[in-house]
Amino acid sequence: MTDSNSNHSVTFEQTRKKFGSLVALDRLSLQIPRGSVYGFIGPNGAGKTTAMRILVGISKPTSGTIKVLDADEVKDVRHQIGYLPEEKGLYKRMRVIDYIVYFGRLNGMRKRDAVAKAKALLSEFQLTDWEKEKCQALSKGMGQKVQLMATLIHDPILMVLDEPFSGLDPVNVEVVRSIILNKVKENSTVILSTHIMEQAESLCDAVVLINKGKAVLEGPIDEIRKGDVVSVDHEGDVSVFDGLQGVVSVKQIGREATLQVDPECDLQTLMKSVFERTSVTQFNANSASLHEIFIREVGGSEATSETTADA
Amino acid sequence: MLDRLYSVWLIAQRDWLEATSTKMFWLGALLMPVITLILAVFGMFAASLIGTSVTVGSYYVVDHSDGLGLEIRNEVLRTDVANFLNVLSEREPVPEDEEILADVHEATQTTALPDLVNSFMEFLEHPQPDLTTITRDTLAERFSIWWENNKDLIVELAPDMSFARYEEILTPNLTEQELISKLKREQILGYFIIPEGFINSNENAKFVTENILKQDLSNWYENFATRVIQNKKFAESDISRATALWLLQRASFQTSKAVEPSRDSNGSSPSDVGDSTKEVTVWETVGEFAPAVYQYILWFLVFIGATVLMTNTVEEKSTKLVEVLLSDLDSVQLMDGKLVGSALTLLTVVGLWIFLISLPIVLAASIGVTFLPQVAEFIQSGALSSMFNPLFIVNFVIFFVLGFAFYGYSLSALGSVCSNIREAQMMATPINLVAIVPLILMVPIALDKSGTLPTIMSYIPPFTPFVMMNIVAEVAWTNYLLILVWMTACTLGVRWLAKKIYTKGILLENKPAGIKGLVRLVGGTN
Repeated sequence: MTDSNSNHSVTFEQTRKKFGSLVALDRLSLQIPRGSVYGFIGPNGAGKTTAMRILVGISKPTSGTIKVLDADEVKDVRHQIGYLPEEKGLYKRMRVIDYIVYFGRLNGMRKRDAVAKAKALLSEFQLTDWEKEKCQALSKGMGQKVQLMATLIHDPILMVLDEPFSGLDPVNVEVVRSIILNKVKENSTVILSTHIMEQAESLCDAVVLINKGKAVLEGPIDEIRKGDVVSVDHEGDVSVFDGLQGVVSVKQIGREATLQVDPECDLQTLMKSVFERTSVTQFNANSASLHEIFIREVGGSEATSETTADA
Repeated sequence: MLDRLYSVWLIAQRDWLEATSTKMFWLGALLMPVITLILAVFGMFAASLIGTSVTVGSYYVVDHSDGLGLEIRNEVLRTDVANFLNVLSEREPVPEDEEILADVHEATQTTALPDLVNSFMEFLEHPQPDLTTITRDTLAERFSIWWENNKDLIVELAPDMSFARYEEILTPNLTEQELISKLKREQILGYFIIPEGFINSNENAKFVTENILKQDLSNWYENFATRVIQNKKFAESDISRATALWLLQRASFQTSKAVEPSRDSNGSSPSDVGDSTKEVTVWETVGEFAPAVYQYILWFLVFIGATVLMTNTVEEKSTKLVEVLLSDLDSVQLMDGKLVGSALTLLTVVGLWIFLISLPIVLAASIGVTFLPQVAEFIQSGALSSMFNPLFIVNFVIFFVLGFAFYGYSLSALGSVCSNIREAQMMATPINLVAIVPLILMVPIALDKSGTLPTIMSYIPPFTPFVMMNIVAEVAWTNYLLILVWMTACTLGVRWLAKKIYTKGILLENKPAGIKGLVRLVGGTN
């Protein structure tokens, strides 16, 4: 699974990070394909930001390795990475264009090139009128756009965006989405973390769900969602599903029971068994949404534990 | 390598530009020397005013002796008359002068001064004769009347008159209660109690005052009392005062400094030892404190700079800007860049100060204008060349770099583990307390530059830059080099430790628990 491969922008291999006795990241192993949008999802404090900080070289793993853009040391490819942290700050007294140019130059750009690129980005983000204003004059959303421009100015081939949509209005969310998609079209890799599952679902090619420092789920969105959910509208109680083959867990609210079923489960056989046990008015088999998967894996497990059916 | 240095330069340049592009920076930088200059000029002006101003303080004498109080009063008067006659003897009369002044001047040229004083005192000393009965036949009589009626003119001609400073209240037999009441109402500065047998013992002799710190009146009166008592004792021993003073004359040496001996045109060496020495002026003595002044400025700059650096670190940490920066460069580059940026800002300030302070002096000197005689005296004394001695300037730069790096790295590291400025200031307190030691000892070190204390302190890294600045002219070259190498090594060590702490501390949400926490940060991976 973790063999070195130039088709991958990033490879975590048994990467572990401890802060004192706290394990922030527990033997994370995953590969992120080049030219993809990859999502880090998980609850607060799961270890997403730690993984991202390791990825951009701010932090070092306690054990295990990480390979970024085929380099064993992140610092060797630092100028090919663009990083947008979760909490975004600006030099308030700096002019907008100077701020963007400054980060371009820190990433090895010549001043003239950085100024030209900054102007192009300001135009793309519709902030040309704010070019000469000081950063302290910007609204939160505008400030975030300026931060993103500073991340993009040196044309990184790997972008690491920690919660890029937080605090943005719907219009700006679309602007950022289109920027991300354009970068991917240019064969750049975008790694982002988000709490908004719909965003991850619609934007990411693949995701890793991290909980308590561990990768709980990892893979392409379609594969992750393949685990089916069956909803049954019936007259009996939750116990009618006890012992059904292929049913992983059951949650019932009123007449509607939601069955989490094994991906290998034969739905025809299941439907027949259910009909034999209870009076059914509706039987629907759907793919689970990322939101449902998130709840199930992170928060839903406790809620449904009492009704977990034996497989 | 160049790439890394370029990043450091970019960080430094940004910090420098941001710091120097505010109105507050220029206002602060410009105001500081202007205020210093104003205070200095005001101080000189005030000092010259105090020197000429006349504020008379009153005192009272309770005399239990056999007329000693009266004798002291007359001795004061005699000294005033002698001083005045001395001034007149050296002053050429002018047409506007009253006739008496011209006559007295003439008398001073023909009669010995002590004899003249004695003759004048006949009509002046206490108890005074009735002035209305004086016939004005003699110069002494005319002078006594003129003296009583022209006190302002006397002070104008001879400002050192005692009566211009102190005045004895002659109301007889004031009670202690009345005197205390006068003291409380500040009508008198104090009163003296001359006990019986004061000639032989000081016991029970008192000076009663409300302001025990102000001793000038007491000292002044003591001098006259001493002189009167000495005169009495000399008389009893049948020795003249002149003989007695000759016997008691102290040996003294005029403080001088060696100068390059001048040679005659034929190249021969000077024969007289005095040719190679020169008397030391007050300003030259002031110039000797130039290293201490440099030390003070160095301390001030290092601490202002290091504290600003710590504050900036805390601010950048709290805004998370540092996280973006650390994804583009490593922590040492960031620390170095910020350190260089702050150093440039401080040097800009110093440059401005030097420019602003020296400009008026140099301009005034070049066009021959002097604002105050003290300024002219200062410029001509050579104290200025002591201040701008290349040895001090070069070492100021060297020890500024080392000191600022030492404290800058230390406080940056502390700032990196703190979430707010208050927390950082608390953590920096022990460092500040250590650093204040050389400032407290600045003057003792300046007075004994080769002593054991400065020598030991010069090897203790937190003190080295400041102490060395003060004693650098006295340190042997071998020691100097050793200290320089030692301080450089320690600064690099602090940089290494600071890097360890900074790299991890800057990402921490909560500060580590004291020293233990910092040690843990040095130990683990970031």
